[in-house]
Amino acid sequence: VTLHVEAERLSAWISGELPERDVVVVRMHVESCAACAKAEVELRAQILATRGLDRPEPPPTLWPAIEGALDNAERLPWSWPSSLAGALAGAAIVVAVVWGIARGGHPTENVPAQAQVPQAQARPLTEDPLLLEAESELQRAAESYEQAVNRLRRILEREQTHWDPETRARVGDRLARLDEAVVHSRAVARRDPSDSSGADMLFSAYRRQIDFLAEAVHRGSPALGEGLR
Amino acid sequence: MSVKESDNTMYAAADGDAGIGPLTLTRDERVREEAALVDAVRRGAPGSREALYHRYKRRVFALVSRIAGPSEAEEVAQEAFIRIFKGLPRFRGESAVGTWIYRLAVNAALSHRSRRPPPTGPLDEITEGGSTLGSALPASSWGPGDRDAVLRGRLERGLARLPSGYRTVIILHDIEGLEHEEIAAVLRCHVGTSKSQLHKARARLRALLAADGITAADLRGGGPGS
Repeated sequence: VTLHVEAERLSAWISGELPERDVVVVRMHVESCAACAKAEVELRAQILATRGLDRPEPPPTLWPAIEGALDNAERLPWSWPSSLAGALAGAAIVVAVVWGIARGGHPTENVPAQAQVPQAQARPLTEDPLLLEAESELQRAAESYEQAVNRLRRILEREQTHWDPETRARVGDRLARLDEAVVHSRAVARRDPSDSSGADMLFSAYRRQIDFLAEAVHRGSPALGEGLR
Repeated sequence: MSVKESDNTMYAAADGDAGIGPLTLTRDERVREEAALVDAVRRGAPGSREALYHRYKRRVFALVSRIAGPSEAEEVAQEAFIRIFKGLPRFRGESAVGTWIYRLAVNAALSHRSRRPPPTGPLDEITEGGSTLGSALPASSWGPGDRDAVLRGRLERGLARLPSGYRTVIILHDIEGLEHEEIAAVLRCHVGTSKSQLHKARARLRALLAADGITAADLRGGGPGS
């Protein structure tokens, strides 16, 4: 029966990490055994090829995301997970701009929503480039909110592993109701895109979701449990 | 030379993340340079955070990409860098900055992976880049232009199939070029553990590549039959 050198020992031998007495044994065996000599060649080639693997370049968005998250974390009086803060800030800015576009003025102008409706209805949506742009911005804002919500949900899932089942269930029920509100307001917003009140309702639902999730993540199980009683 | 002037020189040299640092510097010079950069970040010197990021971005991104998976890399790298910048004020210099950064990056990647394990199923569907190409074509059919990308893809695929512990050690040693002492500091394990894990990892990778039809000739770039 021929006993070959195991790949682990070959690796140690190649790296010069075998005890001196074993080095001689392994070398003699490899010199006289074609199978082990082949295994050694393959292992050396593998190590060289692995060393030659490149380091991929990170995407150019990575640093701005890190910087934004750090800046936001430093601005917030209490500490949300930093990556989330960037997403929320982004969503808030987009929403503010979108409201301004959708209402035909600056976001700071306090124009009643009703006053915009006849104007929007008078011009079909598909022919109004401003409204088309607004609709596209609204879509992007909704996506930003959804990303923030999804991130918070993932964080919450991690946090919840330490919670008692009763609180988890209550939080789950509350989230389910908030989800329903989002689904409902999304349907309203889609029914008449020219009416900005649908979008208002949708973003309000998103904000309630985010507020609740952020509160849950930030305050944790005991405080939240009391708040839900 | 004032501290600020020193910082400016350093930031310019730091950009690019090539290897451990500028090749013209000795190890001691690199250590001093990195310590100065860390000090600048702690003091809030303008541009210092970004300089530190550029110095380590590729190392951190590559590391987390290979441990947590390419599709998770951006999120994990972001998390790792946030941990790094938030942790810097508490960094006491008990290890080299690079070792400490590797530790935070590895921890971020491993904890991410434990929270969100990679999808199961045929590996071709869950790996990225050249992997699918590599698995779709038998080695005998590779054209000269395909060979490097295919091999890289298959190697990456093999690495991705290793258990996390093996994969982490082989990445740190064979790809990132860390010594066992540094790996032991990163993973907070014994040097002997790092060595034994590395050899087991290489052996497992060899078996995986062999099962994938990759020969020494392929790995050397000569292709089948050469």
